[in-house]
Amino acid sequence: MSDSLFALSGTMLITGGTRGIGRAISLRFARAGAAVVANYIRNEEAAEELRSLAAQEGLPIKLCRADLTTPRGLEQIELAAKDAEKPLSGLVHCAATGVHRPIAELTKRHLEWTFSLNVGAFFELIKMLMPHFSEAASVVAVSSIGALRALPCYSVVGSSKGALAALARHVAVELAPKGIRVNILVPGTVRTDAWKAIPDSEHRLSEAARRAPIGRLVTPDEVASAAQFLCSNAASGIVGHTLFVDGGVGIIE
Amino acid sequence: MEDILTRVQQAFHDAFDVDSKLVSIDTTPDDIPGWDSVGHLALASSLESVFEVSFDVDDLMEMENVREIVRVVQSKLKKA
Repeated sequence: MSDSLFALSGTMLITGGTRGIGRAISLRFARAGAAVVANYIRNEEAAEELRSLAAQEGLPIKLCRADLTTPRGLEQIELAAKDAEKPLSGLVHCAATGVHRPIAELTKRHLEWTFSLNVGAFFELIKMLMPHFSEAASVVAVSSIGALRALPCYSVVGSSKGALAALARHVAVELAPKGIRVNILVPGTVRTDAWKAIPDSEHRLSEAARRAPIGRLVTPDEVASAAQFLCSNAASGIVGHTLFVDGGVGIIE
Repeated sequence: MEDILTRVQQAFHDAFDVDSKLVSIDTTPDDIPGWDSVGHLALASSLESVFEVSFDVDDLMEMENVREIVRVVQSKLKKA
């Protein structure tokens, strides 16, 4: 999407921006004209790989290692936003975690741990970044099909994504009068490293590809393209919308 | 502390299926494949099972590397 209608500008903060879908969004947004701050916490190797690729292509991607569930981490993010050369024009909350077990093996702590990053961090980031957003800023909360459908061993993650989407809708209504659009993105089944932690992953990925009307899995870059659309002027009239990028899975029985 | 480290190594093996000998007091997430945000919760669950303690969110955030894990676990065991 090189047309100016889909171009991006300013500084975009991408949480979880060095791996999987977040990485694809970081690269897509930088190629579309935004300066990107890609946040991560643990995988230094993936972060350095992204830094190297960005340097090779001359893309304005900066890394910000920060734990979004801690006050110090949020301060680091706020500093990165304030220090950015271009005004803060948006946030894509892609960082997520979770415990993938049947309900009988889960504890309330698993729920709290998962909600702390998947929902709590989004809440804190919105409150902290609101004063810093430029006019016509855009926020995208990356949810999951697990927010709407029951998936195996996914109850804490799915419920956290449902909470994230609901929070994003409420925030969308409150921030729209300030010129800040908030929307929700629901990727279908996408092959990323996150699947390594999910039981029976290969079978589930294979089955998801077979069931999808498009006959394959959605790619991280296809999700990133949808995120770009939501953050661009092409989506200037879209607020509080849930955009599915699932290859048609959501509409079949 | 050696006993705690040995049991932490066991927790790493259970969570990541890694050779426990690869885990030392100086080990960080960069050294263990799979020790990402999702893996961290799996590790925390494993540590809870091995040590029969409970971690809250603040504990998880402090456990940035093996040295800090040992410290947090020691603190939990003292209170138990």
